[in-house]
Amino acid sequence: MSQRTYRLFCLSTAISPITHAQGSAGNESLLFREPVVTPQGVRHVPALSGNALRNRLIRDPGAQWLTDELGLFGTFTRDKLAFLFNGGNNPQAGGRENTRIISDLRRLFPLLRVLGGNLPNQIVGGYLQSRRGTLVCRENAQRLRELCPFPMPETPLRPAESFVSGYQYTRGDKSRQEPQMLADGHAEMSGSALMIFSGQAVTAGAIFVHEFILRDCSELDLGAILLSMQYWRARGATVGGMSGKGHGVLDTMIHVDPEADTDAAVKAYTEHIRANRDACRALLDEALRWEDPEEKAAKKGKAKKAG
Amino acid sequence: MQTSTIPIPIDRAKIGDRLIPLCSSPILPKPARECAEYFTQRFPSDRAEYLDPSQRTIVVTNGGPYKSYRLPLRVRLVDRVVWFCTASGRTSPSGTKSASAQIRRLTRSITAIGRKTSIGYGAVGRWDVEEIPDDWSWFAPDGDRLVLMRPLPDGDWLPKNLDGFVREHGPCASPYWNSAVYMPIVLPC
Repeated sequence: MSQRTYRLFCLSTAISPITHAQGSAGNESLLFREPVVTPQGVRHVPALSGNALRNRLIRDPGAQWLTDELGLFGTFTRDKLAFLFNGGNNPQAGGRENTRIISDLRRLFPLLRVLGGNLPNQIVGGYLQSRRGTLVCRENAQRLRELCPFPMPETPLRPAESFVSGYQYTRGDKSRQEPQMLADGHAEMSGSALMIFSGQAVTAGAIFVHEFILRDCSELDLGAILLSMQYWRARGATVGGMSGKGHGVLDTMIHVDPEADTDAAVKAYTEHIRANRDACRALLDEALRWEDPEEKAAKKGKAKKAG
Repeated sequence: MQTSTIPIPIDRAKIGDRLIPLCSSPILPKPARECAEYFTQRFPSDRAEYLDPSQRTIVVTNGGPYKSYRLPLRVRLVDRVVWFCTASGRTSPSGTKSASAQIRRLTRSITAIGRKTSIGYGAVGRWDVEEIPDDWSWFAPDGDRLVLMRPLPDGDWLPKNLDGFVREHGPCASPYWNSAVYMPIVLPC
């Protein structure tokens, strides 16, 4: 199967406020920002982290699609769940790497080939680079010229701070609003759950430029990424926090370089997974058979006694 | 063990039994900003209903196999990284290509360098390859002194007027990860 490097250049417009937070100052949550060198000095500009974009646009929807397609709901072990949805952990690293499992995993699961992950006893490297979401603003003008595959418009860009707004919500206290609903004696109990919370947000309408780079990948791998992004879009297309309150909705345009038949790639990937459904399930069982260290020690002890 | 066997058009010279590339360590300008950023992972307990009923137990997240983490990354904000190297053109099937052209072709596919490139760190905007008349791959002049430019084997062969180094025990050529190639070396500082 021929392999090449694909670059998926994305232009994402915020349809609602983006609250991709980094920390807090008092009661106010702060936006994730990155330092940028500008002619006026270093400025801290709102951005979307590569980790968040990778997880929200690719891993999470891709793993969800595999869960649905392979009928894994309600059957996961803890290791399988952590591996598929969060990249897994590597608690049994012991200097032995099963190359058959690694190669089978990459052959059967193009998504996992691209993303990589930690099996209980070995690390499986990935091929995907997820670039950060760069805000289209004056401070990033120089970087955008490097990032964009298209010429940037000559119109002057607005400063980053003009895209920063705020939000404020209130959590009500039902016990104060409708004390008659409480059991006898509870109405007098002190303490209110009423809370005002606020924070910074990137204004709706802001545009972010980001990119996924798939090194040495096949059409199946490209299909896995595109299908994941389609699934992400179908499930709300959000990034950052408070998506439950309507925040973080993106409208994303994707440009694939070199040009590829994206529908054919997605079709090839779905057919590949459907054709290998049983093999995929069996391999996940085999690759993620985690041996509890205590059980292992107990087995060793029994074997010694028997010996 | 043989060292520095990666097939790239960087020249190599032998010091003792070690082949050492004629290429400096990366040289960074003073960072515009230096800070720690963090990357995190946690067990996906928000998907507990996906687990087999027998697996729905208490998951320890402050230790053991499902330990959550928030690990720091040392981040330096620089606008460029520079290497000095010596390279010779090689004959390719399509004819002899200059070393610059070969390096330009090889670096074109490098989109990021350093750690955690999978989540956007170390992104490279472009590679510029320029030819200069001097060889500053191992040593660079600084007045009447020479500044060390890369890890090299320690020994009497080093110039007497060498500056800017510390003595260590470690690797000075690939495979850098393999302790079998460790030896007394001098490191730029």
